Amino acid sequence: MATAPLQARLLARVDGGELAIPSLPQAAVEAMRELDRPEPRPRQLASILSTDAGFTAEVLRVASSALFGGGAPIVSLPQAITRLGLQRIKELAILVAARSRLALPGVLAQPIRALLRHSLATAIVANEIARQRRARVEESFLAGLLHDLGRLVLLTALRDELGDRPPPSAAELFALTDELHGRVGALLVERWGLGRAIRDAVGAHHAPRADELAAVVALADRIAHELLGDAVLPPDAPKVAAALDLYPEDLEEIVARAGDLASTVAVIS
Amino acid sequence: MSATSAVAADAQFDVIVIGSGPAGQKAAIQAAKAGRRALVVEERARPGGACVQRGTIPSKTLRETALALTGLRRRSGGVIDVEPPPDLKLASLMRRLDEVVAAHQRFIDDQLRRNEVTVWHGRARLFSPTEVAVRDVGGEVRVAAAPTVVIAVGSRPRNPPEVPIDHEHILDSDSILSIPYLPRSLTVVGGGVIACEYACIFAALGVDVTILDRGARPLAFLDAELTAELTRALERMGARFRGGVTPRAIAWDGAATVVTLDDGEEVRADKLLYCVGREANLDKLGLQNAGLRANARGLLDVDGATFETAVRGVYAVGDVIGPPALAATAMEQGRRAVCHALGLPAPNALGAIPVGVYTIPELAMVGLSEEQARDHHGAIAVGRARFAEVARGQIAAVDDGLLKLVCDASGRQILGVHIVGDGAADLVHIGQVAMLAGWSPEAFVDNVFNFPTLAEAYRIAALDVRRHAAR
Repeated sequence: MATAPLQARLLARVDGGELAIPSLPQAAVEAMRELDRPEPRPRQLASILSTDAGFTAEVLRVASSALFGGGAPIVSLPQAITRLGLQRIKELAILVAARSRLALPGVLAQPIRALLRHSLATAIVANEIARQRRARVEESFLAGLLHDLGRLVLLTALRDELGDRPPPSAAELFALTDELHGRVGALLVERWGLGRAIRDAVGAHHAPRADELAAVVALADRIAHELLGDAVLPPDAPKVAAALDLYPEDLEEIVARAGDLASTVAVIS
Repeated sequence: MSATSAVAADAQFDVIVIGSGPAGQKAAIQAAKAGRRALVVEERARPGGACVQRGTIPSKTLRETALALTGLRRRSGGVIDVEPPPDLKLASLMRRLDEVVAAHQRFIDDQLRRNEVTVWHGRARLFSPTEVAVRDVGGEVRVAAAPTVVIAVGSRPRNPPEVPIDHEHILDSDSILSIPYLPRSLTVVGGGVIACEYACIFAALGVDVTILDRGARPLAFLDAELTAELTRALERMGARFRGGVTPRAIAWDGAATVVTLDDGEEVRADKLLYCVGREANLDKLGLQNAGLRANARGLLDVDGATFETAVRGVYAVGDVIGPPALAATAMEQGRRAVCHALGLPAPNALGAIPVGVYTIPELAMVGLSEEQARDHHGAIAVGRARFAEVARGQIAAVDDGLLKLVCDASGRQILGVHIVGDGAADLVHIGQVAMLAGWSPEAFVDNVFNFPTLAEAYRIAALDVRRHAAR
């Protein structure tokens, strides 16, 4: 199927500011507001999150998973907040929100699940890269988590564009988002109010140049693809690693610390 | 066959310097200026070492911002309210950092290029006392050879296994600068130079800072009068130094960092900076291949004048040989090591070495402390000048400044100079030069200094020495 016209229409929508950028669920918006206070109140946070039962259940499920170290299951929001800390709760809330807002049914369900798993894997690897470099650790997880979400926004737009016509293959649809997803991801991050550093890193993760956090995400993106077995390490990976002054033995340590990514990201079902 | 004959001709040098921090740069430039072929091996893409990328330059950039805030507060007499907002982003405070670091790296690049120093980007490993294997970031290995090898690989923050540094909540002095927001509270574990400098910066920015240290006072190597002034300055900024305490455990409990002290007391804060010592970057250098071994403290032993190790032709300079581990001293060590290696005339013995600590207020010293002077000389004469007595001090509202001249009992020989207050690290050089030239404090009385300047404090202190001297 010729996809060029579709791509042109997507570009026109992005350029014309006509792309629908989904908002965060209300509970997540209020939770972010609470978390951004100088002194967030854990009890207040728990009460905000608990207004959305589906959201709460999902937060507890993910909080109890191997992603956050496993152990005894977490059964209440206050317990989750104590065990994981406010920053992790924020990241988790965004992950859950992204899923609920951006998942599409039908032919794309499977590729989108793979994409969310890849996003989570990228977040974990980005966190380890940042730790290895002893810089930007706190922002790296979120930047990795969000780096590809622009694709989901674009896929939603593509679904509208297609209407009743038979869709291209999932691979073709994803390929259509290659060029624009960084830019759209940055719009999403801005809309969600997650800060300039994350926005810039998401926007530039395919051409990091001077942005350190973008380079961390770019490398994590490549390593995550390889570790999840959905792509071989791209030939430019050493160059991206070199820009971060990471040597092959550093990469080995990062991969070892990231652990069994495939089973960790299985939390996204 | 010589050890170096198998190495390609373009990989044969007169001097190989491993590391491009202050010590390495000066060693290489000294060799090049003597007309020798010098190679610098640097593991990072840009030169400068920790000094430029993670230490001196970035922290001093942030300090300038903090100083501007405290200075404005003080000098405006409260007319301008400069309380930083609670969610202030560290990144926005550091905006100038990238420019400052890039400019400094450009300067080092230019200097190395101008002097025709060859630079290889890669990780070095000693093959022998005269050969160094350099593996680049892509894994390619080249071998360079030279009769002289200078080890200037620097150090990194120490991370003992029992301290769970995650660079997110519990940080070291490298990662502290990349936290995205200013925390509300910060516990600093350690009472050394880096710990005190960061404690002051964050306190000046409005963070609630607590310093925990085993020592009774911070910066124990400095004159007690200076550190007492620092402790008071910290308290004025809302911070506190708690000396004589031993952290038994350090953890992050999900909501806060927690230090459990020996008596069971818990000290909690948003973030924790662990700043107890540094360790030399010697572990991957293959020291044994060159017949070298780190000492019990993980450092290299060298001759104190030539900086040559136990292996002829192999030198070590900078942080890898331990205290004072200051950039300025490291540069001079690098230069001296190469002079010795190349048989160049030996510079004069290192005289009075100044120490500058970039706390808020600044601290600086040269020579003996009052206590050391009493131990060595018995009776002494000490002259003091408070900055509040100096016109410039009053104009600039520097009321916590002090300059202290420590002299022999006759008051004719300067044994030490100690300064706390704005500009101390610069001011101390006047005293240093006077000491090196063998001047009596009377020189400060008999000569004219610009008015109004803080340097006038020398004159006032010299007059005070005259009052206390046994003549």
